[in-house]
Amino acid sequence: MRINFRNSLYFVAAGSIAALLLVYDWIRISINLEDPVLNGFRSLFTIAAFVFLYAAMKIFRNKKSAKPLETLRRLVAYGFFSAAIISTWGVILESKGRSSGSFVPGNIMQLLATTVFAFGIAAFVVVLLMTVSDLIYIKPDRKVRRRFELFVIFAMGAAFLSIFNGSGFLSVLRDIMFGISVFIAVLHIVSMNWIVFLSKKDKYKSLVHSFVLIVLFGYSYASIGPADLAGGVLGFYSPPMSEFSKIVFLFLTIYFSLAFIVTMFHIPTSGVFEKKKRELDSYQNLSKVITNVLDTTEVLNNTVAVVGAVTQANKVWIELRYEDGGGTREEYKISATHRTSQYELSTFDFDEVRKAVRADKRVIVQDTDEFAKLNLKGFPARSLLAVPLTAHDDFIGMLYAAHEMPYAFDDEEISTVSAFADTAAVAIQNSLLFTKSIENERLQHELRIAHEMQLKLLPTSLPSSDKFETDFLSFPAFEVGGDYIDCSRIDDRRYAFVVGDVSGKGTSAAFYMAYMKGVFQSLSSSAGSPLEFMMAANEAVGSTLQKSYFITLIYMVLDGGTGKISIVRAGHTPGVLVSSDGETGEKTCRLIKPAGSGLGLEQAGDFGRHLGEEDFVLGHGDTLVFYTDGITDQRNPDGEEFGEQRFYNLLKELSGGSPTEMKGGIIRALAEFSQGTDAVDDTTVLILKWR
Amino acid sequence: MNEFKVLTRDSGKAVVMELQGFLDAHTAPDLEKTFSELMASGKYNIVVNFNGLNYISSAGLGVFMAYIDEVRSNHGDIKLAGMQQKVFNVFDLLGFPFLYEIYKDQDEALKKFNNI
Repeated sequence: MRINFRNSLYFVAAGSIAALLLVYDWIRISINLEDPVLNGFRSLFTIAAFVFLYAAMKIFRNKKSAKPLETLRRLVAYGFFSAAIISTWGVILESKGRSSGSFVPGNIMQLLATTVFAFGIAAFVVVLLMTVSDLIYIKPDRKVRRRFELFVIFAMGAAFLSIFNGSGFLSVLRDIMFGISVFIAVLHIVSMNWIVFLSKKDKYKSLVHSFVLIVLFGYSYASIGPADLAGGVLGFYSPPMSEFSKIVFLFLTIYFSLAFIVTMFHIPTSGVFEKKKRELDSYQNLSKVITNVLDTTEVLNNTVAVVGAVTQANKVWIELRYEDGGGTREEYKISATHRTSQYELSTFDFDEVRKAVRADKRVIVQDTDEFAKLNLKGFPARSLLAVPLTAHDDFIGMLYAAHEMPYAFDDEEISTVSAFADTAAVAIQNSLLFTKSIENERLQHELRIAHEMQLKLLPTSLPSSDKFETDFLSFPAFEVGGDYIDCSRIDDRRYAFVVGDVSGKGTSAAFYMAYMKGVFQSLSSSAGSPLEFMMAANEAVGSTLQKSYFITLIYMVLDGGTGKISIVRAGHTPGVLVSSDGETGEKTCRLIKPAGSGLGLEQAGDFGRHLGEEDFVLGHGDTLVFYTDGITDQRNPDGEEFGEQRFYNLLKELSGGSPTEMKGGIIRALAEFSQGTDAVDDTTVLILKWR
Repeated sequence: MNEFKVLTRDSGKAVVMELQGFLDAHTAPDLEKTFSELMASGKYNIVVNFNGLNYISSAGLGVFMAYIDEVRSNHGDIKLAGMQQKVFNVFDLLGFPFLYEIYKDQDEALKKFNNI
């Protein structure tokens, strides 16, 4: 409440006029002056006082309320007070000994009481009018506003005309205006919007309030008629005020009688209205579900809860579709339930429902008989609604709602749930993709770790001495690979070197490669001859490997003092011995390819029988190279293979240099050849040069 | 580029499996599928014709290893035929000649089955 200078001025103005009127009235009753013209002017003054009062009253008005029930409660309070004033004031004045009918105060005290009473009623009438406008202005259109304003104008018109009391034509005009304002009051029946939006419970409350208001306003209206004492008091003090109050009380009585009837009519439909409201709330919930895409479980649970709220279905659940083996197999998993459980649902097979949904967009079962057709005999429901969850043309699963009553789902509900399923499907897919990308990131991280781990399994350098020099290269095609290279010292003279290739690529190959390292490290020092080593390795690997995997290996023992070499080969690419003719200096390549099948292909007996060994002594400047097929399988952008011949020629060309220089040459040649084409297989080369 | 095709047809007591294109880690599942279909229908006398096969990787080789035990325990065999030199070299290097009968052409292999 804010009292500023202007409001105070209005009060002072209203008060001053009231005081002037008091003085005039005292003179008037003292000398019994009843001049119609003077009385007319006096009435104009009462109107002026009334208008100032109205202006001043505006500041006492509470904040406008959009809650109909609150406004109704307020109206009951004001209506009660105004009715109380009307009845008690009448009694007080009557006890002063005046009879009903035309009232004239007998003394100054009665005059004072009359003034206070008249302004009190006027104030309440203003407050009541302002408060009821809160109701009328809930969701109004322009017509409603204009209609209410029109009512006020006609009411004021009628009030103004009542100044000319008794004059025939004007009094007829006044009655016409009165009638029009009552008619406008009745017209308000079409715009009681505030009732429609009440909940069922609030509508009952509104009924009670309306009834109380009818009684209060009806009583007030009836008590200020010209024949009543209160009416007489008001009529004496100010006919326009009396007229206006009468119209307002009549308006209020009519308005709340209509409100009572309208509310009664709306009670049966309030269930529908509330359902709509619930649906809207649920949609709002769903949008929350969609923005909250991070957690799939949460999205699924929210979706079934929302559908449960919209349809009031007894059971709601979602099953998601999972694909296996490149889309050849599909599987459905119940992923969220509402008022049911996986356990309950697990005894039923929804395959027929799925087929029907995929053929026909949705399945609606309205009675028990149809359950048998869908192979769902004994399902604890009589209505079933199943809609697909389709996101960006992907069928990601199904949404089910079941009810224990037959014909539980009406058309509106079905279309709501369908629309809902579409929105939910997008949210579910988003969350699934999000989870997947997190998972991918984690896998990438794991692979990086695996890559580093595997690098540690490879030797950092191979042994060299004043007699021989070595170097090697080994790159996996992916993060981890199946190529293997290693060396161990058997005794102070002899070294074991190995190069291997696990069939397949990637993680599984990497595991076998790591296993191979264990086999090599433990066997190479304990096994006697290279043949014995290879047979033991075949045994170890054969018992471990899956059928479709195998490992190829080339293994040699080098006598570091004499340059004597013993090589065994288990299905691996041959060793290449590059030597130059002592006289011409011409380079030659010889393939070292003793017989032997890949590890894990043959049983021990056969493997041993087929295994051969090749021994020779390295000469001055000889270079021995082991490699894996990654290098020869490397392709260029035209799809051409690097190939054996090109590789052997390259080795001849490079064999003048040290192993490290040769390694550099091989890498350069490969880069030049591939021109950026990705390697399809792991690439490993071991180079040993006898000085 | 890396296309692969498997065609099967019955020929007497045996089934001829004709391979075309590239057999590597990506296409090996197709061959696996064909083998498991043959196993499921009880056909264990198999001649694999490599005539149209241009490339085989270790994963491709693994497929033959995966089914040979099952075939032989059912008194059948997988016989290989018609390999290009390059493909044969891969098989040879690995020691497959110790494990499989490898023939120059398919009819020779079929004769072995149909004479039993």
